[in-house]
Amino acid sequence: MRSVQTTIPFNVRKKCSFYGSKNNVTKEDFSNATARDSSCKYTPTVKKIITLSSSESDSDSDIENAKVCGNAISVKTPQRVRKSPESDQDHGSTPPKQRRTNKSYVSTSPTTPSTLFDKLNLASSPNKEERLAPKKLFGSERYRNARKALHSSVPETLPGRENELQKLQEFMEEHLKNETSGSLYVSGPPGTGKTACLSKLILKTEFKSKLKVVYINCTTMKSAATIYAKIVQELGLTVSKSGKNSKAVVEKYLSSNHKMLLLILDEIDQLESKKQSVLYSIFEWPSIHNSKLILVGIANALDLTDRILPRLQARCELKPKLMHFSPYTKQEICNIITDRLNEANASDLFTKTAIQMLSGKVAAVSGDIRRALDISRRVIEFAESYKLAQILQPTSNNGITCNKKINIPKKQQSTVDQPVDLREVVTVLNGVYGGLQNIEKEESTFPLQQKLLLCSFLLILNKGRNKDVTVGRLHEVYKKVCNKRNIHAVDGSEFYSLCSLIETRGILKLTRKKEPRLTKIHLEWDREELDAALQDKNMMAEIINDITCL
Amino acid sequence: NTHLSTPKSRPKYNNLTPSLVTRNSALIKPTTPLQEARSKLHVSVVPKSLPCREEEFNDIFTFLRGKLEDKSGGCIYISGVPGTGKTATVNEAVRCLQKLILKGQLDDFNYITINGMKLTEPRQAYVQILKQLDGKTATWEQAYHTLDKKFRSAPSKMTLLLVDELDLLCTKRQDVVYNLLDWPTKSTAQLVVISIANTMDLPERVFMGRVTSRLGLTRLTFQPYNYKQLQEIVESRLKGFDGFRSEAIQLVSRKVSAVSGDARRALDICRRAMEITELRNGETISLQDVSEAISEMIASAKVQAIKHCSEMEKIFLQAVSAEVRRTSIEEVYFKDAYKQVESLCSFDGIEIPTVTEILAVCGRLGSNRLLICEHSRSDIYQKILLNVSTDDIHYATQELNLN
Repeated sequence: MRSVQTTIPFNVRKKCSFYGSKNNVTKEDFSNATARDSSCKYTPTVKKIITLSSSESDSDSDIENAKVCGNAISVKTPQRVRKSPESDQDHGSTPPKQRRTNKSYVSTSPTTPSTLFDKLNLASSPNKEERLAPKKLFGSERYRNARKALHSSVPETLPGRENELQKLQEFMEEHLKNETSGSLYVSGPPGTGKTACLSKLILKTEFKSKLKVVYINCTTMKSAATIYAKIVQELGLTVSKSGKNSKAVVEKYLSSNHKMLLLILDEIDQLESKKQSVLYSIFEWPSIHNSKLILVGIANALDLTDRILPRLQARCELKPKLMHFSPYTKQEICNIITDRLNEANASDLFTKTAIQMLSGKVAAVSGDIRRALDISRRVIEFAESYKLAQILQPTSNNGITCNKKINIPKKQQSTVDQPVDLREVVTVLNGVYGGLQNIEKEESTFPLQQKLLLCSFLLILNKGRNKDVTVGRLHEVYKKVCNKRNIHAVDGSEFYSLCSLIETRGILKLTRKKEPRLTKIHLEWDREELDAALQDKNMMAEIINDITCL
Repeated sequence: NTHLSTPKSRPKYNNLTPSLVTRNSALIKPTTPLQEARSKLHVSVVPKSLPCREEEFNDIFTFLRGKLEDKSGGCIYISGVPGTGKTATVNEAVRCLQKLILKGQLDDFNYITINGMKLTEPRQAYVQILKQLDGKTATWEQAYHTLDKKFRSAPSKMTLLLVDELDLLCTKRQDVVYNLLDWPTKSTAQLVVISIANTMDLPERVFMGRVTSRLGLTRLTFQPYNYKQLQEIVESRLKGFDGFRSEAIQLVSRKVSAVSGDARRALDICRRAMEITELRNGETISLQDVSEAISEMIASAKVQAIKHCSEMEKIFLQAVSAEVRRTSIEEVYFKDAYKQVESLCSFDGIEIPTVTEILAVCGRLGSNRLLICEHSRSDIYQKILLNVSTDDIHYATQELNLN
């Protein structure tokens, strides 16, 4: 009996909730509507349409709600039902485990005509297979390949890093040939392919056979000193249980007769410790007689070894060779993206200018290839969803009532077959960095009181004598502003939470003190720009220029 | 309640699920339509489809679905002020994805949620993830190594990891955040990390460069609800109940959207208004009930607090504000405030209290945060700061004089 109970409510609820609230149509209508031309790919959008259109008409959604909230209510009934078969449970009331399945059954069954839903469910199940078929009609494979190609995992080729690879290889080969030890420090900003280059090198067969490679990412270390234990573990040496003498074990191994060892320590700046003893001893290892160790440290800082390991300068043989990975230039980023897209046979998804602009933007800021790939992936996702929306649009027009929310962003009918253009790139970039653009665009969702707060803050900054603004002082000015305009001013504690809400937008920065009233407020955004953005509105401009409120 | 074994051996059983003692009697059903509607308005009742969050839902859903179909990892960062439906939307999207599995349109995946607020320490995140993946409990180091091994050697299933309150996982070294965001960049790890936090510019503000770089630029910001959306949310929950006047709903949503745009706040105020209606045995919620609820939940309590102070406390507050006005410096020495008290008292013809008495008054006011005082051991040299605006004091004490 219970198996029946568990299956029925599942299907019923799935049906209802996935397509939003179902309108009370017969099953033929329903299946036709969905089977017409929406493939399974667009189910979320379909859902949106239906929920929107049916939000005015009352449906069974509130019944569902009532069921959810009233679950405690319906507990009583299943308890009695079940007590007879399972009377061995002498806890007095319902056992907690089985409650859920029964509850949902019981709560659905009295309110909904279950027979109708049963039929509906059976009738629509073949439809799902039908809907599966047209999935590939729109060439989503191409988008998918493009997305996959732009994933930031380590690729086979590293365009733009030939020089560095060459240098690294020479360095290694030289030491391999002479069987000497050496140390190398690789620096560069994030996303410039440091780790990728090294991991590509160690995969080469000529190194694989002659070298024992140990790669450790130092962020995983609990503390700096645990690095020794990790090295011991990676080398497969035996060590006493306490792990105290792991350092000695490593050093003993190094001075013994062994294979050439390549030790790569990623994010080596995490090993900073008191007096830098760990880093010093690691960088001194290559100088141990007959150690045959190639040490490679990777970090972001350009001058890590000079800054925190000045003693290494004293002895020439200890000085690590430095190697810097410069950020990718515009042309390199451009090449990487086009190469990857070509590999995936999706080069026509992007226009040339779009790639140029994207890589120019990224190169100007950071030269981070991860970021560039991420933006381009994002752009492709946007393009895909645009395309889906356009294909879907006829459905929304003729199927159910047309809704405005879909029509607004998707009016560019012409882009159906066009590749991604500048506009999408700009959209993605602005979505992340364009703080001010966002505030202008979404002024309807920026709460009024927060705007008043910002205006009062700007008033103090522009016209006040003391630019050192605390929450208490801002609150006083804000209250005067509100009184003048007959707006209800919020209380002190509420005001403080308003400040922290604005802080989450990144406009303000609060340096917190013990007392909220003494918390200092700083403006993070450019004052003139924010000023200009807010002065567009009549009232805000008046407030900002109203000295009497000070 | 039979004791199966000695307590020591209990934790070994992973198949024991924690349970709570159940109630002896069943819960009382909501009888009136008012009560029923009130239970629908509860914050914990998450509707099946969230109104006014369709675009964000679509964004998240297509992103996750794309990742799941591609079998590639990725990160998405979702930000927004509290009460804008971030977690609910993500959960809804995942629910829809799980339904697709049942239909056979998508491969199975694991769904794991951790919440930074619920962890005692950021590294406990590893323990929680492993527990939800395998059901094993281990120390964080072991858990980390197991997870690392798992994600480096292609796992069989995709994993969705929802990290709520990401900012709390930040430590000085930021190793936890780094690891959580580094796994998706491995081609073998089929891991999608959905991270949620309040601050929009958290990656730029807090994280190190390498963490930000791994987090990527797939970001989504939930804007606060405006009044129309709040109205729609409340109305959609109250469907079938016509006791709530639409003007009343509008008042609530306008008030809330002007301040924060927090849906929880709006729902709470509505429920409080219903309680007030119930207390006066009404059927429909009037505007008056709503404004009463709003004034309870938003309005200031400080003026009331000042009004209910004793006579001497009021005089002391006035004295402090007078001293602030005189010196135009916010911080006031106690001895100066006492001088003001003396003159105020002699104006009113009250016997001048001793310094000790006034110190006690000052301590009381400091303990209920109307004043901010230093520790009282510095005696008459302690500095006093008003925690309320001088207008409030003026307003509250003036009414007293009229009476």
